[in-house]
Amino acid sequence: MKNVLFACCWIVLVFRTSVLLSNEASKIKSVFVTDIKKTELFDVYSYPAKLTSEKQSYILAQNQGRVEKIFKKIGEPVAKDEIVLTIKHDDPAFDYRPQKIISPIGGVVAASTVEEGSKVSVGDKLGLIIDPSKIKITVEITLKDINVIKVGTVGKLSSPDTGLEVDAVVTHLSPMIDPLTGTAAAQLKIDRPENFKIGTVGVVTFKANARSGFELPKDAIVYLGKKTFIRHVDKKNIINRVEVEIKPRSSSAVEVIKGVTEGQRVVIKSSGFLQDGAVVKIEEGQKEVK
Amino acid sequence: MKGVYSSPLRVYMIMALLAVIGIYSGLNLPVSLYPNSSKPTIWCQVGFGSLNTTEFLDSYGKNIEYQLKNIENEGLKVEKLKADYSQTQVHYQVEFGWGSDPRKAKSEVTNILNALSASWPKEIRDSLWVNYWSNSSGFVAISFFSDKRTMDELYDILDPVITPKISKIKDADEMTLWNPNMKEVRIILNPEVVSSLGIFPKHIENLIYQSLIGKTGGSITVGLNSYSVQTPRSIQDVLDLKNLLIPLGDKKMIHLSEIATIEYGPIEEQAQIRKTNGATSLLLFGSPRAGGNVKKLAEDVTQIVEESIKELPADIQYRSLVDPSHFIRQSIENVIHEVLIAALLAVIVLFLFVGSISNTITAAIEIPLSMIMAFIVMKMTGMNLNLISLGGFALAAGMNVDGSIVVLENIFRHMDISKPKNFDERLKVIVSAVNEVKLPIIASTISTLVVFAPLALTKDLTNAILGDLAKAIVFSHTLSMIIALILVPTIRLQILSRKNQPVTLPPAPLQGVMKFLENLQKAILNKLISHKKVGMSVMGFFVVAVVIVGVWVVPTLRREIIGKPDTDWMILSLNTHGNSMVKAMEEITDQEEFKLLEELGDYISYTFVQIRSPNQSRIMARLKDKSDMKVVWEKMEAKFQNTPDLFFWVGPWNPAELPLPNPPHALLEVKGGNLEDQKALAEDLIFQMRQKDFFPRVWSEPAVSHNENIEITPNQTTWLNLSSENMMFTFDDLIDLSRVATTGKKINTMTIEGKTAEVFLKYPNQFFDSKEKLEAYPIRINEKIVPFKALAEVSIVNSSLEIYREDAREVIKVYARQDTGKEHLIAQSQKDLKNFLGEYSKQDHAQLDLKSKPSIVVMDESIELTNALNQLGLSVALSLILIFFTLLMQFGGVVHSLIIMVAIPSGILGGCFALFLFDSTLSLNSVLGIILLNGIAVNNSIILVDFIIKLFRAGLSPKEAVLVAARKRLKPILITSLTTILGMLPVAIGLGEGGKILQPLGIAVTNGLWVSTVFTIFLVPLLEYMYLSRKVKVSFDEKVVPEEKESANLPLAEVSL
Repeated sequence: MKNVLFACCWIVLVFRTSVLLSNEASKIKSVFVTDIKKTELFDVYSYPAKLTSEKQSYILAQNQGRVEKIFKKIGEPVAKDEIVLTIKHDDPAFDYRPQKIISPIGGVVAASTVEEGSKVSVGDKLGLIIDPSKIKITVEITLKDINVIKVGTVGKLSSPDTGLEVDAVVTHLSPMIDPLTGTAAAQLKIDRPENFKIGTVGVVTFKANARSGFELPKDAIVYLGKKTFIRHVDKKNIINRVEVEIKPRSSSAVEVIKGVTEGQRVVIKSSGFLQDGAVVKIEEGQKEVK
Repeated sequence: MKGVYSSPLRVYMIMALLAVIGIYSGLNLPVSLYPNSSKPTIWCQVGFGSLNTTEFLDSYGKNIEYQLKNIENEGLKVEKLKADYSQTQVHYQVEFGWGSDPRKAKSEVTNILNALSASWPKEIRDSLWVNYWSNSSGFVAISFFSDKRTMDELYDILDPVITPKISKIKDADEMTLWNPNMKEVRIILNPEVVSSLGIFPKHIENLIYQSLIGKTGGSITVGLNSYSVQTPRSIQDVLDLKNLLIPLGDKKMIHLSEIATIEYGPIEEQAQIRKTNGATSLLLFGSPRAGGNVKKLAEDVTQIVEESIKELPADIQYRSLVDPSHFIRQSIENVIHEVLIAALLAVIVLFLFVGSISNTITAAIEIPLSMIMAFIVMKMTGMNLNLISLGGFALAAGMNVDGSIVVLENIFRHMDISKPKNFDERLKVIVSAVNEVKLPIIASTISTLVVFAPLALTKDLTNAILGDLAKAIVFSHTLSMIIALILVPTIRLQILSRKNQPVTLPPAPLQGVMKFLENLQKAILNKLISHKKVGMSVMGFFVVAVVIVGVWVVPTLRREIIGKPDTDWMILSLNTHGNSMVKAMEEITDQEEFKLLEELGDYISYTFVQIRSPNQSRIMARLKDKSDMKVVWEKMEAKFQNTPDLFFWVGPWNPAELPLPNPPHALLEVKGGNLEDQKALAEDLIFQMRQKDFFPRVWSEPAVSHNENIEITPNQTTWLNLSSENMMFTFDDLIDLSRVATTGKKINTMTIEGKTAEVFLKYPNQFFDSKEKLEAYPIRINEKIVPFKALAEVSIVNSSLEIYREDAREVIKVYARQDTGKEHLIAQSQKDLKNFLGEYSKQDHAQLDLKSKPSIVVMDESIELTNALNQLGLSVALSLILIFFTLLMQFGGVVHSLIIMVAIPSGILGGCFALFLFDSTLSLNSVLGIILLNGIAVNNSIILVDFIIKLFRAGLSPKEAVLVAARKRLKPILITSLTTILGMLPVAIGLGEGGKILQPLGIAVTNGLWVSTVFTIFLVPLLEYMYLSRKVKVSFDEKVVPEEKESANLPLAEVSL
């Protein structure tokens, strides 16, 4: 009888322990982690870049009258001093002789604002001639960034329609801040301008203040009052909250200035609140956000 | 009385008439699951337009709150007003009291807000939304699907057939055929083109809006005719929209199609996808109007769908997803079965004790008759048949037969003594017999009913839930008294008038058992009386038991308002973050649904999926067998564990639940000091609570956790310079651009191919996916292209713009809750939290750098339940006082009255201990059961004490009086108790649909009653003996026994041992 009782106690104990353990196992939270590595960090400055022709000129009406004939249509090449169109004077004193309007530069007719028969006045813009081979990239630099982006600063110019990205270097920077816009004009140069369309707006991204540092996704930071923490996972998968000092980098990332060392494993996301000292399970593969 | 009994035909006709009216009333009583009770909450939402939170609050919010809080009209009163101000909109919850008419409440709130909105800016006015949602009414959901047709085709076929019919359903409030593929017109601006042309969304919006509305130009009257001057809308279809001309500067125009892509297709961002067993489906969804009957609604809808489906092509199928009528029908049938079983058991008990079929039927007729006649009163008082009122009938089934038993027994006793020979003598005997027990029956009925009287004084939750139960018992029990005093003697007289009818009660089947019990009782009672120490020990044990139960057992009982019915629906909720497309959530949901079916497919009949937003979805699984609920729940919880990317919630769902308060398990309020410090303290407190893991879920209102916003601040100097240049845009246009580019904007609606579609202006999806992209957005100023940040500083700031107000006061509340199914952990968690808070409050919180001194106050989280139980407690106290005074009037002595009332603590002892033993709950039902059994227990005591006093006054010694009375009254006491105990047994077992709701009531009554019966038949005679002995001793000393002289008139034959 005693032995039976003893056996029963053992069975109960084992069962209870396994239940407890399975309960414990089911409470373990899972995490996504990242290993902290020192990387080269930059401050990123993005600007819209206006793509125009370096060489372009409007053809203006020299006299009032009607457009008699258009010799060069949109897209056609035109040489310097070549006749683009003629305007017939409507002033009798000029004996209705057609005025020849010539192209001041060699290039291509980019725009035409008149048709044959249109009435024009002196000074009206009749068309635009550009040299498509000479692309001009203009970026308006804000006052705040003027000490960072200088002549010689290299950035990446990306095209909105092709997505192509090329290096662009600042070649000129206006010494004057336009009071209307609060910006200074900068010109950039690229190697293969033929890949970009004049008249579009690209995006230039400059990287400045290069330095070596630690970057973490914002999701990894725990905010508590005025302090910031990361959740460090040690080799035994135990969580330890560590205070850090951070600096914002972008909407999705921060730079950790103090409090971490290379090789530390840090939690990015977890399946629930992580207590100090909690054991966690590391999950592979963060799902792609759509 | 003579005239009544001697005219049996008259009596039978009246009773028959009442029975017929009763049956008719019963068949026409509305049937629902719960009593007609609701506590409506009206939800409102208002957007801020271009204002920020504080600006809106000061300009409009406070006034709105004042107006809503002070609603007092047509019986409506606002109990609580909650206002949750987030960054872009506010949600108001207007909570009305129990019994408020939801329709009136919604109408009142709508009227107030409409009146206020007249002075609001258009954008704020257009964002106003008011609705009512209550869980009590349940809802109906039927899905339609076809594997040959698209959703639109299905809708086009179903809508004209079904919609006109369902709109006529009387009990329906909102009945709609939801087409998840509702279409919209999307105008997706090309960012590069619009920015290079210097166009802003505002300009395009105004142009489109004007083009979508027709204009009137007055009217011209010519003779008898009147001609209104109108301009039709210039945009009639998508092609017109594409050709809309947008003016640029320098007199140029451009077509809208050159700067934007225009699409007409299913709503993209607000798409809700619904699937049944993996296939998308159209949903017919509706809820009952206020006071409407959800069962009737469900039946009407089902009938319409069944009839309509015959007219439709064969490939169109439907499935009834949520049909409360099925559950309600089964629950009601279940309780009716319980009532019938209760009645049957009562009749069996009667037969076993009484013997003879005719006597049993004579007494038992009271059970159905009293209930049927009670329907008449229920109909007149506007009650309905629901689980609660039917539960009352189940309870009353056993009780109602008592009066008949007493009358019947006394008739036979008198017949046996007097042995009448003719009709007149029999009539005289019967009248005499009835007169003798008339007062005790009336008194005992009143004492049973008096316990319910104070319930009428309760209000709110208590009355809402228990009112019907009390009424059902009061009505049927009162009628049973009348039947016992009128019908039973009439029937008996008629039967006895036939030849060869026995004048004595025939031997009952349990006569031998009865004899044995009487002898056993006599032996035990004799011992208790003769051996003082034994008697004192029993009394001492009783007192100790009551104290132990009261002090240790009752506080540990789980509390709830009312039991929840079993359900066969399980829900798996999915939550993620970061998605912007519903399609993405659909993929995730499909995967999880696959896992669910793979693991638990054998248990699941079908699934219904709702994907409501890009980051939330719900998989509802209908089980094949309700009894698998526990197993399925456990397996689902084990299978679906939170991951860092995906959060799950698993739990049962019942579409027909009562709208009970669902308070958190801990509630704290942070008070005092300034708002910033309150938030800092709340944030730290929540962190510590999560760290200690008292409760798995801890949250606050408003949210106090770290929050960041993008703040756009105009560069004042630049704007000053720009304004002098007559620029075509303002800073507001920039903000508007940001809004259109991030969330899109509804412009208006237009009708295409006979269908209304909303028109949205937007940018490509996720165009601004970071602050940096916003900063770099190109803005054209003359010939220059400048970045957005040149005109306004874009920065990420820490902010907690959320403001939470209750009853016009800013509060910060911290809530905590345990998971469903882990209620046994709540008490310990609350205790641990309390201990922690004691320490936490003493800390100086230096790390928080507080400038003021906020503090943490622990609130009563289940205040409504506490109030309800307190009200009930007050009712109990009041009913005890009433019982005491009733007894005092009847017996004229305080001591006798108190001795009779000893049955009450014994009943409470038995009831509470049984609730503890069977892991049941202290709920309104079980407390009511305890109240009720007080009445029944006291009746047993009354029967006993009344006879003891009579015998004592007749000249018997206290011991003799006590022993004789106990023996003589054992049988009626046992009959009374057993009929009620067995009658409540099916309820106590809690089988079938809805069984769980009334189970605590059954457990409390059955166990409380048998315990109190045992104590009554021993303890009460013992106490009477002790009191009467002392009285005899005192009067012996004084040599005066006045009562004995009066009682000497009673024939001694009546008191033979």
